[in-house]
Amino acid sequence: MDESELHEFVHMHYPRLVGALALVCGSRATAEDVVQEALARAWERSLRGQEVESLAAWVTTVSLNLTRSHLRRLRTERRARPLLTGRPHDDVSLTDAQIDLRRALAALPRRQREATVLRYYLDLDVLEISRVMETPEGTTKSLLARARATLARALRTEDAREVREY
Amino acid sequence: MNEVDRQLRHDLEDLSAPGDPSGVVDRVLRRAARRHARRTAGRWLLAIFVVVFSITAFVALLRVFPSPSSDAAVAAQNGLIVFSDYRIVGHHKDGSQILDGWYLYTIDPANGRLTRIGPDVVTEALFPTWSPDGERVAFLGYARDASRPRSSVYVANVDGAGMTEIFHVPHDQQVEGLHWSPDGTRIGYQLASPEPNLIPGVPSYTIWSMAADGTDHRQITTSGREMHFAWSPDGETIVVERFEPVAEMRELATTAFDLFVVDVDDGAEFRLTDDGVSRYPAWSPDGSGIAFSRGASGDSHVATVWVDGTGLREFESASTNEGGVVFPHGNTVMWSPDATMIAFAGRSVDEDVCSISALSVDGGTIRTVVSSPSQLGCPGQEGMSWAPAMEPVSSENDPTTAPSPDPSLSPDRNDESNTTEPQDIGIAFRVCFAERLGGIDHLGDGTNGNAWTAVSVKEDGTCPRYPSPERYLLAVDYTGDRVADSWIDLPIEWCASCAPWDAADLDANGTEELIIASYFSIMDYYFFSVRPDASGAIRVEPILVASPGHEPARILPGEPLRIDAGGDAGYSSTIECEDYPSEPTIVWSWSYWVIETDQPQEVHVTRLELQPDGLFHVVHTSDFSVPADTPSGVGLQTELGRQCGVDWYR
Repeated sequence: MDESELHEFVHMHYPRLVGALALVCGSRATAEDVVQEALARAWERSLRGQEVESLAAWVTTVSLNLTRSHLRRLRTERRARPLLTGRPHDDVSLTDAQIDLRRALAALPRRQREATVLRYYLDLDVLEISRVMETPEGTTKSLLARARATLARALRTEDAREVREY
Repeated sequence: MNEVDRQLRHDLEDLSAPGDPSGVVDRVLRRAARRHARRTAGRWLLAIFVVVFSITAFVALLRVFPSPSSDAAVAAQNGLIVFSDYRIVGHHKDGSQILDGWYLYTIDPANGRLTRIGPDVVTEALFPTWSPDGERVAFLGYARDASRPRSSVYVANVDGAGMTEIFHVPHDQQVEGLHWSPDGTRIGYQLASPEPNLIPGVPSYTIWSMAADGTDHRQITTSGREMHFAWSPDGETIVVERFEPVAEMRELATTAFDLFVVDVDDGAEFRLTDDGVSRYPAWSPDGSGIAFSRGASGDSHVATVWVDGTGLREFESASTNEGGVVFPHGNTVMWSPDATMIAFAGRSVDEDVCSISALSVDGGTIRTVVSSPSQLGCPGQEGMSWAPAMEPVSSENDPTTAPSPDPSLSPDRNDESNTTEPQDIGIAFRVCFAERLGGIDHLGDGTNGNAWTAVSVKEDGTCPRYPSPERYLLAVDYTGDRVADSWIDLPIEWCASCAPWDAADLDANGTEELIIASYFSIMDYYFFSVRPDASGAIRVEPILVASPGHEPARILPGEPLRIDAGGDAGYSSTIECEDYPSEPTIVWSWSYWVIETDQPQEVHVTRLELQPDGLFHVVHTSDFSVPADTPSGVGLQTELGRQCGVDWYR
C-alpha cells in the first residue's frame, strides 16, 4: 500500500465505514478512532512488507473487532461509574422513529447488529458480509433474517410476516 | 427489495451521517508512526535499562531481601485455574432481566474440563483468588438486586457453595485484584477511592490487606498510584505496578507503569523496572523471579526478570494484549503452582479471540487453556488464579494402572498437555487443539471410551494460530486405548470453542450418545452416535431429526439436531427432561423476547425422543404467544440441575 492508495481509501470508503461503525457501537468518536486505528495497522503492515489483499475488507474486519473491544471496555468500566465524572455522549438530535430504530438496533445481538449494518448501510451482499465477519454464508443469512424480523417490528411495518420468508 | 429492506436502508442512512475524511490520512500516518516509535523506543530503553539498572539493583535489593529464599521447595502440582469470564446464561424466571454478567469458572488445564461455579446471587463475580490450600476461593461480587453498584468480598468453597460475605465495600470505593496471602491468613486487594487531595475524577489507588475473615484492614502502599500486585512467597513483600501521575482518568491508558518491590510492614521499596511499560506482575512460587506483562498498551507480551531486576527474558509470542483497547482490572499473568508455566490472559484483536494460555518457562512453547471468540469480556481479564492440586494424580494417569503405551505410536501420542504443537491421536494426520472427554461407553460394552474434538493441521503440517471453524473434526475411541478409531469432519456450521461436553444414554438402549457443545454467546449442543453400519463397521455420525420435524421451532427434518441453552440479548431457552433414564424425553423450550416491544412473544416447547431408528423424533409440540412484558416461563436453566443425565449449564 502506498500513500495514494491510503488517500483513495479514505476518500472512497472512510466516510461510510465510520457511519456504519457508529451504528454498531453507538459512538461516532469511537467509530472514527477504530477506523483510523485499523488503517494505521494496515499501513504498518505494509511497511513491514505484509500486503493486505483487500484493504476495504481487512479494515472493515479489524475495525469491527476493535469496536467489540471498545464495547468490552465499556462493560468493564461501568463498575467504576461512581468514581468517574461524567461520560461523553453523542450530541445527536433524533426523531421518535429514529430513536425507536436506534433502540431496536442496540437491542440486537452483536452479530445481528453488525450483519444488519453491513447489509443495509454498507450495502454488502451476503458473501461479502460472510468474508468480513468470517462466518459461513448460512449463518450470515440466519443472522440477517433474525435481525430483519426484529427490526421490522421496530419499524412498525405491516409486513412483519414477510420477513420470515427471507 | 421489499418494504422492510427499503425502509431499513433509508432509516439507517438518516440515522448515521458519513464520517468526515478531511485530515484523516495525516492522522493515520501519525498514528502509525507513533506505533512504530513505541516499538523502537521500547527496545532501546530496554538495552539502557539492563546495563544501568543491573549495576544498582543488587545493592538496593539487599535492603528489602536480606535473605532471599533459595531453598523454597516447589513441590506443588498444578490444580484448577479459576477465572472470571463474561457470559450470557439466560433469563430470570420472571423474564424481567437477562442473566448476563461476570461468572466464575474453573478449568482443569490437564483435560480442559470447564465448570461454572456460580454463584448466581451476585451479578458480577470478579478477581477470584484461591486460598493457598486450594480449598476456598475469595472473590469480589456485585449484588444482583441492588439499585446501584454494591460490592462485597466473598469467600466460597470450590463448588461455589458455602458463600460468606466477609467485607462490604463502601459505596464510594472500589476493590479489585484480590490475592490470598501465601500463608492463608490475609487477603490483599487493590482499593480505588476518591481522594480530595488528588486530581478530581482520578481515584487514589492503593494496596491493602485484610484478615481472611474480612477484618483488620492494613494499608501497604500510600502513593495513590499502585494498581496490580502479587505477594512474594514468604508474604513479607509484594511486587506492585505504579503509574506516573495523570491529570485525568483517560491518561491511565497511556501513562508509564513500572514495577516496585515493597515491604509489607515498613513500606521500604526498590524499583524493579524502569521502562514504563511493565504491568501485571506475578511472583514465582520459588521466589526467584517475577513474570509480568511488558510492552505498550496494545503490544504487550510476557516477560520475566529475577527478583533483583536483572535477567530480563521476553516471550514476544506470548501476547498479553494485541489490541490495546481493553483495560484489564485483574492480573493477567500468573505462575503455575509447580513454577514450570506462566499462564496469561491474552487477546488478538485482529482475530478477535480471547484466551488464557500457558507458556512453558523452559521451552517457551504456548498452549491454549481456554479460549472464546469475542464476547463482552475475556476470560481472565477480570482476574484468575491457579491452585495447587488438591488430590494425588488420578488413577487414570497413574503409570501403574494406565494402559501401556503402544510402541508403534509416535512418542507424543496422548500427550494432551500440548495443544499448539501437532498431536497424534491415532488418525491419519496430526491435529491441534485437541479436547478430550473420557469415560464414554459408546457401544454399551462397558469400555471406557474417549472422544476428541480437534483441528486438523495446516497443509504445511503446523498448527493454525487459533482453532479454525472450518478445520474441526470429531474423533472417537470406542476400544478404550485412547487411540482414535473413527473420525469425521465436525458437521457444525460455526464451531466456536467446540468441545465434547458430555455423554448420556438418551434412548435408554445401554449405549451413550455423545454431546458436542459449541459456545458462541449461547451454548449450542449437537448429538452424535457411535454405532455399526450395515457392513458392521463402526461409524461416528451426527444424530438427525426424523421427518416431519417441527419447522416453527426450527427443528428441521434430515438435519442434525441442534438445541441450545442460554440467552443472547433477548433469546432464552430451557432444556429439561422427562422419564429419564427409562424413557427419556428432551423438552426444549425457547422464546425470542424482543426488548421494548409491544408485540406478543412467541414461545416454542418441543418434546424430542431418540428412537430405535437412530433419529430424533418430535413427539409433542406447543407453540404459543404471551403478551408483551409477560414472563414466558422459559429460562433459568441453572435451577434445574442435570437433565437427561447432562448438566447443560455447568
